[in-house]
Amino acid sequence: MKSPKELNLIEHYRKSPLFGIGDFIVVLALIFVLTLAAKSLVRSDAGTYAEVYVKGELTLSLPLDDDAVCPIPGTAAVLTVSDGKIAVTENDCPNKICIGTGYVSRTGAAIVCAPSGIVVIIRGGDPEYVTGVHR
Amino acid sequence: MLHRRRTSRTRKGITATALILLLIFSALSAALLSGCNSKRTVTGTALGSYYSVEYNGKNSDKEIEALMSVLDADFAAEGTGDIGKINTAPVGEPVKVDEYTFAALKLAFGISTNSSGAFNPAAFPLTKLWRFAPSVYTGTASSLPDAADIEKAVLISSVSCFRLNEADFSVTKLVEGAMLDLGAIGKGFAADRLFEIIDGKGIADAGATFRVSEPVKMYIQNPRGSDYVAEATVSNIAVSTGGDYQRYYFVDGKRIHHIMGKDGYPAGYFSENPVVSVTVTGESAAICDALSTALMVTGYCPEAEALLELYGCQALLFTETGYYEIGDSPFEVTKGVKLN
Repeated sequence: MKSPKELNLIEHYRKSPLFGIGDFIVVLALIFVLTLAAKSLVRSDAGTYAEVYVKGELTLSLPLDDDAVCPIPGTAAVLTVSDGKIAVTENDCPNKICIGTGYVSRTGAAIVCAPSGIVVIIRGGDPEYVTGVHR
Repeated sequence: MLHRRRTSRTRKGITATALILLLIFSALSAALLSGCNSKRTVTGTALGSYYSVEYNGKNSDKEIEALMSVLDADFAAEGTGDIGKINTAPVGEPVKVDEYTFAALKLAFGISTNSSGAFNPAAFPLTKLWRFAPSVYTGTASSLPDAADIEKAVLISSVSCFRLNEADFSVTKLVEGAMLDLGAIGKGFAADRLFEIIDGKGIADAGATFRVSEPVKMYIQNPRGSDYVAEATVSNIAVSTGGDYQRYYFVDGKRIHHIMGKDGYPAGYFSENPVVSVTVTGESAAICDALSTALMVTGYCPEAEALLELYGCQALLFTETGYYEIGDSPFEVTKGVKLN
């Protein structure tokens, strides 16, 4: 036998909607929180890496976590990654401005070789930009 | 009975509304999530440097690449595009140019006049003499040009040696040997056009000359090192930096750089504490670009302040020992760099 109190409770739940306004708000909040979490995960997931373009085409994408020496396909240029920084260390261009730029590491920093059509740009991490790096 | 039917209908209505709201909210959440993925970036080389455009929305990659390829060809001082044609044309023969070239020249000539020639898009005879023309620049030299040759080059390095005709977009050379060079305004002009293509939303970076809408962290390159001398979080702004450290060579231990002063020598050549880097902020990247060069020439003086005020711009000028601020620059100078 159920007590009158229990019967009252059963009656209460029977009458109340299956999916009430309270549940609805909880689901909305859940979706919102999950979206924000997913978004921050996507962001923080990306460490810094170098994108290497040759004549506008993305040719290489190098993480800066691992030291490496890497020739750029289709050019005479060689990239060196060391201590989270990257530089053009060899090239056959006339002025060697690209080599003179030295090592870069901050997001947004760039190395350019106009004669070879090479652009190395640091991406990932928090976006930052540097004015006055090249002319 | 009637009462119960009404409640159930209301309840159905509420459930339906809730479901619709849920769907809309999920869609909004999905859009928020994919927002960071739909960001597009186009990168390439043009105008002797790189360009990089970050934007959301409809794909304008092709338009951006087409624009930069046109400007790259037409703005080259030595080449077969508009400026190259003007530079090799005989005196008195009008050269028709495209609308971009004409717009850039008109703006450049105006700033040149307003800055009394501190910004000089007709300085190419000097640029060539000092071996900074792209075809001869190597970053090394053993001697300076002859003083008599410098004097001769100064005479033909003026915008008054050209006539612009807006009626037919033509440019006529008036003096033998005069030559134009949009190198000190071209990247800024390109950044402004790129920013128009992306509807003023995103980041247009033409060789480290910027137009940005959303707030971004920006640094000023240390002109004498690999770190930074100032930083700011900026939005809805144009930023351009000129300096003596971008193209230079040394002769007998003295730095010879690519920005030509009114006397025909590199800007600040005879100064004891010359300005080595100028960052100008304002609304138009082309104007900021031109003014950063103009201020390298004038240095810190009342004329520089008047020029910036005329164009509604602000500037940070660095010498080897410290810095000057004109107007209210958004950049905060890094600790350790002293005010001059």
